[in-house]
Amino acid sequence: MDVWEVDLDTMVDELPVWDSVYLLRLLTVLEEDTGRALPMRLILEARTLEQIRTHAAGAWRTSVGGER
Amino acid sequence: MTAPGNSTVGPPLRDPVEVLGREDTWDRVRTDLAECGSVLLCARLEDWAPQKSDGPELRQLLGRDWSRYLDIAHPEIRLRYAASRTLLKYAAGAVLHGDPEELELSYGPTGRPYLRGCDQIDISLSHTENLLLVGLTTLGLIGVDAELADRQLYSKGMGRHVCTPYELVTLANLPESDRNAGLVRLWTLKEAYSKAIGQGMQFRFTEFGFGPDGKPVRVHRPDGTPGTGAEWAFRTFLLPSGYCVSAAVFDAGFGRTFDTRLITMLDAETVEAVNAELYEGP
Repeated sequence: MDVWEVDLDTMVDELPVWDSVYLLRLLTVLEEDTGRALPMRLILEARTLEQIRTHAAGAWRTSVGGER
Repeated sequence: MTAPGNSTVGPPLRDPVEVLGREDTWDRVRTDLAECGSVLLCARLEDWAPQKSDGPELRQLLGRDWSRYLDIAHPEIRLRYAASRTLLKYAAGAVLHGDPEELELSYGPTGRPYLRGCDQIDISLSHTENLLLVGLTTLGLIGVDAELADRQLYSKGMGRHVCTPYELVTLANLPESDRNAGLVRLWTLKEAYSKAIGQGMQFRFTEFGFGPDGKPVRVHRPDGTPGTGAEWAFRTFLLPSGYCVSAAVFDAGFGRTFDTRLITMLDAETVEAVNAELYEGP
């Protein structure tokens, strides 16, 4: 498997082999990790990895907060 | 997969025409479009890769897409971008009897591509791995999509984002070894339909679905009841090269456009009416 190093500001449509299947797979993995349903609309609208990370981190914080 | 020719719903659609290069004859492409109103073309990436990645020929061909092409950083993505648009413009040029370099590819508000000034034909484009896929129709709308048939999609959590409740049950009833192929088929059908209606993934894939393989294919509501009628045709093909290809065609009901040539693109009845007004005095 080829591996590329990219930074968080990379546009998602600039990622090699990136497509909508990978987008959904990433969404699924993030939901499993955070334990929260992520709004697909926000993930679809995210242009960069940083924007996806921000949405996932927000869901994680909400998840942790919800347990307190 | 649904075998070519056995769909009983919607306009006809034949299996994809493999186009080997720019010098191909395009005869079957023109024939399928004339006889069915729609045609699918497939090609290998290497057969349509530009000879020079920054030459004037490519710049001329890409037209307004040239600046976008230059902005693409990764060479593989640039290659796909150029090859797919080259195939699309040559295919459209063949059926419109026009110069591919004269055709201008534009994009709607949701990114849906269309040929500017060529309302007589609708287009759709897909590429994955080594496959390029183009759909053309004179009936109304078309959307196409392709995936490797053995791409692993069926996994924990994925179905919840892709399938309606009815589809989840239908997939679960398949033998385990058939579930991934079933989901790839559903995925390409949903992508094709979403592209045809210009929504992409903004129209959640869990909000509409398709029935099991082997029956006439329609869009279903989440509970499995039919949502579209005979105005839509959906077809899925399994290519010898290992790709699963789906297409969605909408017949707008305005009749067939038999003469797609650029020079005769004016509507015949409109021309007749104008001529009658201009030249037939009281």
